[in-house]
Amino acid sequence: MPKSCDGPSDTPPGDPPSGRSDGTGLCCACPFSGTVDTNGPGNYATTSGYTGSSTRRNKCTIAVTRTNTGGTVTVTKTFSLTYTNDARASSDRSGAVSAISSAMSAWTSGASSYKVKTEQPGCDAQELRIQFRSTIVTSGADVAVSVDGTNPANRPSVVTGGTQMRYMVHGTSGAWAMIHEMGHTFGLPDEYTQLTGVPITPPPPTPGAPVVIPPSATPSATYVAAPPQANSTVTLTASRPSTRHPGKYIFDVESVMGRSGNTTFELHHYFWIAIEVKRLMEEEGTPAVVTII
Amino acid sequence: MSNEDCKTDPVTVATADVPGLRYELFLSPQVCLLPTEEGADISDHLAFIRLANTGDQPLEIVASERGLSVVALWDLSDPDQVMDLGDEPFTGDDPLSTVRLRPGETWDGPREDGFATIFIPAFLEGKTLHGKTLPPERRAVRPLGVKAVFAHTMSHGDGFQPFEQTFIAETEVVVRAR
Repeated sequence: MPKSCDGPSDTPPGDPPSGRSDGTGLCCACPFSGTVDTNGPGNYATTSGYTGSSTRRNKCTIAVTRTNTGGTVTVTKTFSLTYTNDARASSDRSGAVSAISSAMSAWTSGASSYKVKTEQPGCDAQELRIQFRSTIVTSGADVAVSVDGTNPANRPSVVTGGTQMRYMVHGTSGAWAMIHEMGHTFGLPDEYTQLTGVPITPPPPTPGAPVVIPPSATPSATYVAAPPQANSTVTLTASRPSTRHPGKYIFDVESVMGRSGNTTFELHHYFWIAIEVKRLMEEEGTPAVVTII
Repeated sequence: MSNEDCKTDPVTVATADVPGLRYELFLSPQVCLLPTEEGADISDHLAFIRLANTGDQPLEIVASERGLSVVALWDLSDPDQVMDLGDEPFTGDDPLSTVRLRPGETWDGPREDGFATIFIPAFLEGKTLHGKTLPPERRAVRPLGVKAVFAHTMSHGDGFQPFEQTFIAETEVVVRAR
């Protein structure tokens, strides 16, 4: 049984109850928090029929505040800013911070349709809203950002390994690229790929014309849910020939992790939060069913 | 930063041949960092492709301006920890270049510059690309493995067919004292 305690009301008059009880787990409305350092590939998602990046570490902190039936899951990532190629803190810090903050806000907005549902033995079910926050720090950041002042920008802003970001001050790829790349800092995979196409015969005589048709393939990404919630598989579909790699055909999905410009946030993009919340509750001695609804 | 003290001029680091065509990958031998108050100045660094018609017939080549991609980097001291740079989002069709090469002619094709910039914090902190702390004696000069892919189409007058060539090369990151 959970420790008996008086949970805060929706507008608590004072501090919430402390996080840990004496070996009996969390009380129903007790808050809890912890750090996350999980490699997304294999733990949050797997890909089939295409090779995603092998390393996308999701480093962040999760803080959960609860009432008896509701509450909030706050995901906070810290970012450090390092300036290069004529970028300066005095002129470029605010733009970088704004881009990061806006991308996190987009993930919060995308989560507004969903909730983290916790079912803790002896407690009413709780439906927690999800929000994302960013903080700028000088050291020990979850994500190290190179603020690149190359003008004109020679490439888009991008994330590598989940923990390293290049932010192009003069980039033209826009807000969507930052939102998409922020998804990689959560350990999420690309929902696009390029697969070797089937050559057109006879070869086309026109320079720049497509030279392949789509292969017969069904690449997919499977998002891992916290049991008993079922995993979710997304199948990528043939989209268009690649101009960058003309022997290949692009497969993708209409989602924020897929096709450029799309801002569809799917339920499974938040499965990882249930996995981590469940883990944190277990670490507090409180096994629970945690799902995304 | 000034490139004077750094070997930035690209040199041939890998070659490959297919019938009628030779590929040469050029790469800056060094990537130099000079720490600053707010970060680091990084030297110009790039990779580019030179194509040579080695056959006895003219040929026509079409390549995207982004047709050369540095797709992976790794610390040569930690070769099992490859940092996959992956595909950037496809934000639209890339501009294409079309070139005709007569026998013996060459063309300097697509280039990719600034590919190491994203790792500046790791270089400054003396960490591998995967975040492992390096011993002090291995922080100032860091050999890196580079994997690059070049894709294009080519016609000898009989229609365009796709080609893709992968190169493995090395460069060196030099972190200067401030």
